[in-house]
This record gives sequence, structure tokens and C-alpha cells, in this order.
Amino acid sequence: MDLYLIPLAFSLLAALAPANLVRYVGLTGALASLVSVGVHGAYYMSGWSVVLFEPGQVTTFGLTFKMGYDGISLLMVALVNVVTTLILLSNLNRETASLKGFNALVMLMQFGLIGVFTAMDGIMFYVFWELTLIPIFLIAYWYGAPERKPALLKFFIYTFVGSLAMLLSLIALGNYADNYSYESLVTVELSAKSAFWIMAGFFLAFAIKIPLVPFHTWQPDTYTLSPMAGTMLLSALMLKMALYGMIRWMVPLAPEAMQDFTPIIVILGIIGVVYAALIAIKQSDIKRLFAFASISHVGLIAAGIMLFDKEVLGASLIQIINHSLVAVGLFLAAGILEDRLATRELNQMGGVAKLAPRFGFWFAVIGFASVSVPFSSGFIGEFLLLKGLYGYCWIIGLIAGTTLVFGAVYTFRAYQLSMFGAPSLESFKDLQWNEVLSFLIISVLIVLIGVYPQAILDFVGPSLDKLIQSTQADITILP
Amino acid sequence: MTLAGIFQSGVSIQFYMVLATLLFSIGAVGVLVRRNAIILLMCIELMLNSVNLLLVAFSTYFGKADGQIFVFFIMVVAAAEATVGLSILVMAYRNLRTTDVGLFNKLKG
Amino acid sequence: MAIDKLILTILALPLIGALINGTMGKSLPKIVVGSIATGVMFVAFALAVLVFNSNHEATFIHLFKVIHLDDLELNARLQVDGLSTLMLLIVTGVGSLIHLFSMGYMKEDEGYYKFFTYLNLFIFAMLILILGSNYFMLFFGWEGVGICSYLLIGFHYSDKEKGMLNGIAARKAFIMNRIGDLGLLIALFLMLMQFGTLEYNEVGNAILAGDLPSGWMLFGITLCLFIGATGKSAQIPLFTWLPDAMAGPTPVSALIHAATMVTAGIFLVVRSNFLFEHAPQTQEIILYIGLATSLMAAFMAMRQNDIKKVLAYSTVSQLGFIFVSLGMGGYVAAMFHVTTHAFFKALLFLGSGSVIHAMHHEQDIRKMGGLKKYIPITHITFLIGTCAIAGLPFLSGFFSKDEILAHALHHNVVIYVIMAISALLTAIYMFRLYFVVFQGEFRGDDHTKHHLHESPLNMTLPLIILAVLSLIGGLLNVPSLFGGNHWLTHYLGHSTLGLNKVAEVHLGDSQTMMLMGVASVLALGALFFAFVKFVKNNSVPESDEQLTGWAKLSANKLYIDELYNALFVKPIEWISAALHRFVEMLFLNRLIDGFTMVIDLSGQLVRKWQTGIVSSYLFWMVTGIVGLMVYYIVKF
Repeated sequence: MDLYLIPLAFSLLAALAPANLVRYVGLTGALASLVSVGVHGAYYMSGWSVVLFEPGQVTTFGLTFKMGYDGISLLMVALVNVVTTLILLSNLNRETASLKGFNALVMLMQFGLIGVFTAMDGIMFYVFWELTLIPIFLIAYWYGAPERKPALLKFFIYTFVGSLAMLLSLIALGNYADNYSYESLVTVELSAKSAFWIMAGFFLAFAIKIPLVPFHTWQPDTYTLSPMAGTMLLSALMLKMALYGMIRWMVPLAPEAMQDFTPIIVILGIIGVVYAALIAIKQSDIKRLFAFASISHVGLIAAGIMLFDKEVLGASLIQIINHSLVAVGLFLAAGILEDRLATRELNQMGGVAKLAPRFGFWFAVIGFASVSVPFSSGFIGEFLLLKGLYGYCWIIGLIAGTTLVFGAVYTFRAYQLSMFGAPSLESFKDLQWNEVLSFLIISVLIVLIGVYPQAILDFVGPSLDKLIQSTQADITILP
Repeated sequence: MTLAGIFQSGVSIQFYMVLATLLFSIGAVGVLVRRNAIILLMCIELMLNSVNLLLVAFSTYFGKADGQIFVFFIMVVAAAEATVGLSILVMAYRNLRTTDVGLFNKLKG
Repeated sequence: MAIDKLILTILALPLIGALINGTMGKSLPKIVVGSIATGVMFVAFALAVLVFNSNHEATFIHLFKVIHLDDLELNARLQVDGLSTLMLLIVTGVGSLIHLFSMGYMKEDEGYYKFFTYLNLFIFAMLILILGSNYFMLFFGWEGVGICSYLLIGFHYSDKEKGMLNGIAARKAFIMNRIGDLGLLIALFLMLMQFGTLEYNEVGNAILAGDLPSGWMLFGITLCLFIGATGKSAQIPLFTWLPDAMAGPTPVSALIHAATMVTAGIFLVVRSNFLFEHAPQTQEIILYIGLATSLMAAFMAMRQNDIKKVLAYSTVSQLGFIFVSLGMGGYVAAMFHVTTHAFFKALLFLGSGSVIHAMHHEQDIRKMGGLKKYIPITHITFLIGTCAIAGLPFLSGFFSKDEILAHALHHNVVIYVIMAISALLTAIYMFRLYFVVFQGEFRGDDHTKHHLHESPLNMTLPLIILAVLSLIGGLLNVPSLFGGNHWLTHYLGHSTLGLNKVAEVHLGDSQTMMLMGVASVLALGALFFAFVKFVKNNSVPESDEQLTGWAKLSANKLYIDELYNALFVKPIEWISAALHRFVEMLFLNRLIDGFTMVIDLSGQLVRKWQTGIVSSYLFWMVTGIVGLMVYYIVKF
């Protein structure tokens, strides 16, 4: 229970704390939850699942309130706590961090995310899923760029519509089962037609949240106009809910529809990889550029997940972690540039590396990580994902592989336009301790995972085996 | 059935039904054709009471109390409704100097 | 020390150096920074010599499992055999000399500690590349050296005039390499599918045991491997980055873009010899690409006026030469030429560095001339390097080139003739370079002339050592004609998988004699031609505008950069802009807005019903109720 209570309690505490202390309240809360997930991880003996909360009663319409985790969920919870800590840490010297609302909302978001990743009941999953939308919307709405409002409305309604489709699917699925607990939903046997529509509902919700091309039009504007922390939350955590949802909910719940959806999602994912990368090449707004880069990267993950074997799922999880860390790093760099140069236009930047060598160095490290060079976690993830896709269909693997080239093109373009050349301004404040620390933690994690990914694969291995087994067991398509 | 027969067997349920129907129809027609808001409210009361009458009659007929209990609820609701309705009307009259519902069209879409 | 400890120490040394300099280098004095970086290199070289002395069989060192899933196992594992030991010696040996040189060359640079950090990191990545026992490790090193190359090409990124250009050159190198890497990656996938492993040994043994995949599969694997090699080793079509990479500091050009990194592609092919031996179509492709690259780059080098550009095209040309050898199955000859090329090309680059140092960072040879008086040591060593690359008799380049030419003669006379022409061109442009820079009269301004100086000892010492190696490097694999015993052939063949199986070409003494005679005549002829043209007639290269015809084509590098720009760069930029403007903004965004518009319109429609008149609402209500009543009465 501590997993939920700590963020919730600190959220309340942050709302009540005196103004001069509030920024440390948030950080302490994040650290405390980090410790708690560490303890959980130490106790977790890889098995199928650990039940955290189960009142034992089933409400009349089948809600069981069941919460719990397995290796995959615990990994995601750990990711949430690490990234939340990083977000609060990297924002520590900013004005937003001193706001009560901001800290409270971030902790609330963390609570919601942990709920999403540990829900073992369809309705609970939906409730937590929607709960996360509120804090992120408010963070972006209250603290975002001046012209944010229409974009945010679009974001809210768009993702909300998708979520409703998921709710419909859950309800439909619940009709076939005794109750909404994960176990009963998984064991339901569906006819091909109902499986198709159920998966379609999930797919719409997840495709919008991830976002997959062509459901992505809310994303660049929202990323660009949100405050730095909002963009980090969106890209590093929010969209991971959808990828996790695909792994945990969409495929295992309606595996009967997999052969219908695998080609669709793989092709949409690959189109996204190339399409977003191509668009990113010519973007002049640094945040928009990274936003499109994000679409490109997650398209690959989504495509990989649909192949649903142990290799690509492990790779997807590694890549999910990698993308979260890299996204925090990249948007931190973009935020620093935007803050200190008062512009997001790449053409108006230049020569920063000379004035701020520390920033130049760490931005370069993150840049390399984002083009997934060896020794970084992205390399392992992309290597296995591309291998999986290549095995699925070689031409798709080849097209997806161009991300290696295009990724290098737009990342280095952004880096060089902002950092290289002779400085055009007098001074640029170099990184402060909290920013250096954030970059350092991100880089260390990326390199550790990049050199020894087996640790993560071992951690989630048994859970993945069980998950894959459960999808294969009930593919007996009814007429 | 002759009039005497009716009196001999007591007032049968059909009479109550006919009466209630008549009252309800009067109320409904009144609601539709009249434009004065006060009359409208009175017509609504008439419709409610016709239903009350029917509930009480059936309650006696089946020898069960629930119909009569219902009536109490309806009377309370009707009273509340009348209160709210009349106060709205008073406010409307103050602002518009009329009780003609045809002129209350601020909610036009 | 046991061999595994030795190897691990060698691997750790540059990493430690990089870590120390990277974290604390800023606060340390320059001499300490340079000494640490150079020191670890010399120690690594000494240990490499120990490895060389003690090792005669292939040894494997298992480190840890990187990825281990059900049927997929990728290991961090090292392999020490003849081939990797040879590369180890080249990388640490030439590397340590270049480190030493850099201590002098980079003395004035403010990024001194960064430079040495990057250099050490590069060595670390290169060592992983050559020491790994599987293609996965190779890929780690492969991209690792790419990163270091990027960092070092763009080293002077904040320069006022050239900062952005340096950055663009670095980016170009990285991206072109990435295209090659994609090919390599696909080769890896194919091999995983076919063999289920990436270990050189397991793949090789499977092939050698006769477990051959289908012809198409082999063709695909080898072709993709070769695409990777073209990226790293600057072959057609991915060669244009290498001349641009000269934007980096000169020691970098010597170490990365001449002696070590660019030979990674050759190393890859030699390593995979067992695959290529069974893919004759790929070998043909390699042969012709190598030939074309060799000839084309030599042609381009003829009219370059930047001292480093000449050497860069010369490198591309020599690498093409080596690939021709690979295409004919001459793996040992290729490695031999890689070794000697590392010596004399590093020497030439460092020599040019010394010249540039003396000239205050002037690289245009038209402003040099007569430098032999001012910088005698550089002059002598540069001359030795020039003679070695030109293939003057009994220098290192003579023997190694000769072995490749012998292969060519054995293979096909036409190829031999084309290669001889390429060798002739090499000799001509190299002597042109030498004469224009060192002979004649000084053509620069007085200020520069006044300051011309010989480099300090830490820069000339590497030159001298490399010059000696360039002189005697040919002894490694002396043909039997001169009483040699093909030592390198035996050494590599003894412990490197596949190389002992490959049939080496051994020509008879008379044929060898004839070959060497022709080569000597060509080289001497080139020397004479260049001497007449540039010393006797004292002619100086014209400025670019005066050039016409072939010369103009050569000076403008056959307009290949412009061609690539028009074929790839511009269209992609255009597609990017078009996608954003039309698909993203006009189509997709409008589509989504269309949905909201439909909802808006339907709202407009329905709102007419809301008249606001209570009576009409009531009327509809009653009508509805009556309608429902009628419906149910009729139904039941």
C-alpha cells in the first residue's frame, strides 16, 4: 500500500506546505516512493504476481478493486518513481517548482501512474488511466506557454474519446466474464468478431495516447506548449501507460484478434517511424523537433510489441525505459535552451557549447543516447526490436532501420544548430547542480542498461513467460 | 348497469378511473392551450392530483397501503414543485412584467 | 601475466586514461593530461608486445552475457588470435606515437584535456572492435569509433569561421557511417537467423564444416557486411565523408582517418573471410568497387591543393587498393598493406601536421614551398613516407603493394593494368605534393616565413620512428625471392580462423621479378615526371578558376558531393517540408478538425429545436407520450 500512499500523502502535504519548503516536499516524496519501490523490488521474488490489495468482495457489477504487480508492473512502477524524481530534481531551480499546485499535481500524477501500472482489475485500470489525465492537463493548462489553450483542449478531448472506446471494450469484455479482475478477463474466450471489436477499442485508446500516426496530431502542439515538466511527464510517463497497456491488457485480453491487428499496428508504427523522422528533419522549433522524434521512437516500440514474443517484449521494455530517460534528458536540454535564450527557434541559437561547456557535454551525451549508439540502453532496445521486425518481414525491418540514419540526422542537426558555431550572445548560464545531477543519473542509468541489459531481462523474464503463455493458451477461436 | 345497480354495489373502480382520466385530460389540455404561467402550474397540479386519486383508488381496491404512501410522496413533491415554480414565476414577473409563457424565450438555442 | 589479464589490462588502460582526463583533466596541467593519455598508450603497447610474444593459439576470454534470452545469446567475449594481435599492435603502436605527437601539436589548444579524452576513448572503442569475438562486439566498437570520430572531426566546433562547417563535416561522417552501419546491422540479423549466433568461431566452423546456407543468403549476408565496410572504410558510394573529415585536428586524421578506424572495414572482411570465400558474387562486387574507388580517388587527389585533402584522397585510394585485394581473396596481402599503410600514412599525416604547425595552420600547398631548409627532420621523414607510398623499391609500400599486384596479375591482367595505373597516379600526386611543399622557393608571406620552425622533439620523434618503420616494414612479409619466408602469412594463417584455408598466390621468381621491375619503373617514372614538372619547370598549381577539362573535374572531386546533394539531401529536405506542410498540417490536422466540425454542425442543426417556448416543449412532450401510448396499445 505504501506504493500508493506515499505519493498521495505527499501530494496533500505539498498542497498544504509553506511556500518556501514546497519544492523540497515534492522531491522528498519522490525519493521516499523511490525507496519504497526499491524495497518492493528487493522482496519481489520473480513469480507471476504479488497482490497488494484485494478486499475479497465483488460489487454487483463485478468490480473487484484488485491491485497488484508482477515483474513488468514493478519495473514500470520503478520507472515512474525514478522519472518523477528526475523531473522534480531537474525542475528544482525553476519557478514552477516553488508552486504548491505543481508539486501536488506531479505527486498526484505519480499516484495515478502507479495505479495504472499495478491495476489488476479492468475498471480500476480505467479509473487510474483517466485519473492521470487530470493532473497533466492542469499542469499544462496552468503553467504552459501563453498560446496553449486550444491545443490543450484538443489534447484533452482527443485522449478522452480514446479512453471511452477503451471503457466500452472493457465493459463488453466484462459481460463475458464473472467480474472485472484481470484473471477472469484474461481467461474469457471470445469469438473472432467480438475479439476484433474489443481489441479495436483498446487500440484506439492506446494509439491516441502513444501516439501512433495518424492519431498523433494533438502531440506536437501539446508537447511544445506545455511547460518543461509537463512535456517530460507526457513523453516520459504518460505515453508509457499506453505501451504498457498494449503489453498487459490489449493483447492478452483479446489475443484472438491478434492476427488481424498485428499487420495494422506494425505498419502504422513503421509509417510513424519514418514519417515523424522525416518531419523532424526540417523542424525549426526544438521542442517540436523532439516531439516528432518521440513519435518516431515510440512507433518502433508499438510495432515491436505486436510481435509478442519474449525477445521483442523484453526489448520493448528496455526501450520504454530508455525512451523515458532520454525524453527527460532531451526535454530538459530543450527547456534549458528555451529558458535561457527565450526562444525555441533553432535558427536563433548557436555557440552555446562554448559558453556553457558542461551543458554542451551533457546535451551531447543525451543526444548520443537518443540516436542509440552502443553502450546506451537504446542500442540494445533498438537492436532487438529491429531484429524482431526484420524477422517478421525483412522489408519492414529495413524501413524501420532507417530510424538509425534519420535519427542521427535530426538529433545532430538540433544539437549542432544550438550548440556549435561561434557564440552570438555574451553569456549563457551553465548548468546548475541539480541539472548536472539529473543528466548524470540519466546517463549512468542509460549506460548501465546499455552494457548489462540482462539484469532487466532477468527481472521481467518469468513474468513475460507467463504473459505469453496466457495469450497462447486461449487462442482457440470460436466460430 | 343501471344507476341503482351502481349504488347497490358501491362505487366501483371504473368510476375512479374515468374521473381521473377526465381530470388528467383537463390538466393536459390546459397545459397545452393556456399561456398564463399560473394557470399552467394549476393544470400541472390537476394532473398530479388525478394521478393521486387513481393511486388511492387502486390502493383501496387491492387492499394494499403502498399506493397511499406514494401519494404522500407525490403531495410533498408537488408542494415543493409548486413552491419553486411559483417563486420562479414571481422572479420572472418582476423582470418581464408578464406571466405569459409565450414571451419566456430566453432559452432559445 | 596470463594472457586474459594482459588483454583486459590493455582494454582497461585507455578507458582509465579517458576517465581520469575526462573527469579531472580540466584542473590538471596540460603536461600531466598529455602524459597520462600517452603513458597509458605506451604501456598498452608494451603489453600488446607481450601478448604478441606469448600467444600462438586463438584464445577466448569470456566477460559476461549481454543478452541471454531463450535462444538468443549475445556475449561480451574477447578473442585473441593472429589477426587481432596484429591489429592490436598497429592500434596501440601507431596510436601511442600519435598520442605523443599530439602532446606537441595540440599544446596551444584550450580543449587539450578533451582532445586526449576523446583519443583514449577512441582507442578503447577500436580495441573492442578488434578484440571482440563476435559481430555484436564488433558492432559495439564499430559505432563507438564512429562516435569518437564525430567528436574529433567536430573538435573545433566553436571556431569563428569554420565552427559550423566542422560540425557539418562531423555530421556527414557520422550519418554516412550510419548508413553503412544499417547494412552491417542487417547482416547481423541475417546471420542470427541463419546461424543463431554471432560468434566468429561458430559461424566460421559451421561454414567450414560444409554447413552452407543458400547462395542468396550468403550473398545477402556478405553484401550487407560489405555495405558496412564501405561506410567505415570510405569506399564508393559512401566515401565522401573522409575528405571532409580532414576538418579534424591533424593527429586525428592520422590516427582515425588513415591508420586505424578506416581499416575497420578491411578487418571486418578479413575476419569474415570464410563467408566471403563462398560468395563469389560479393567478391566480384568488392573487387570492382575497390578498383573504381582506388582509381577515382587517385584521380581526385591529382589536383587537390590542401595538403591534408591530398592525403585523404590518397587514403581512400589505398583503401580501394586493399579492397581489390580482398575481392580476389588476398586477405593476408590486404592485412600486409593495412600494416604498412598504417606506418607510412600515419607518418605522412603527422608530417603534414608538422608542416601545418610550422606554417601556423596554413594548409594550402600553394603558399608553401622550399620548406626543406626550415624543417629538415620533417622533410626527411616526409620524403621517406612519400617514397614508401609511391612504392619505390625495397620500402615497405613496395612489398605490400607488390603482393596485391601479384594477386591481380594472377586473377586478371586487365585488373592488374588498372591497378598499375592507379599506383602510378599515386606516385605522381605524392611526389607532386612533396615537391610543391618542400622544394623550390617559399611562396608564403614574410611573417610566416619568419616564424617557420622545426617542431619540438615530441613531434619529431614519432616521425622518425614511423619513418624507420616505413623503411623496413616490408620485412614483415618478404617474398621468397629475397630470402624471406612470408612470415606474416604464416603468422596470420596459423591462428586466424579461415586464413589458413585460403590459398595464397605464390608466383614464381621470374614473375615476381617482372612485377617488381614494372612497379619500380612506374614509381621512378612518376618521380621523374613530378620532378620535371614541379622542380625543373618550377610550376605551381594554378588557382581553381584557371583549371579546365580533366583538371577541373579532378579539383572539384568529380562533382560527387554536388551529385549526392541533389540526389539525396535536397529531396529528403523537400519531402520533409512537404510532409509537414501538406500531410501533417493540411491533411491530418484538417481531418481531425473535420471531426470536430461535424459535431459542431450537428449541434447547429439540433439547436433549432430549442425554441425556448415552454408551450412547444410541452406540446412535443405530450405528443411523445401519446405516441408511445399508441405504440404500446397497438403492439399489445
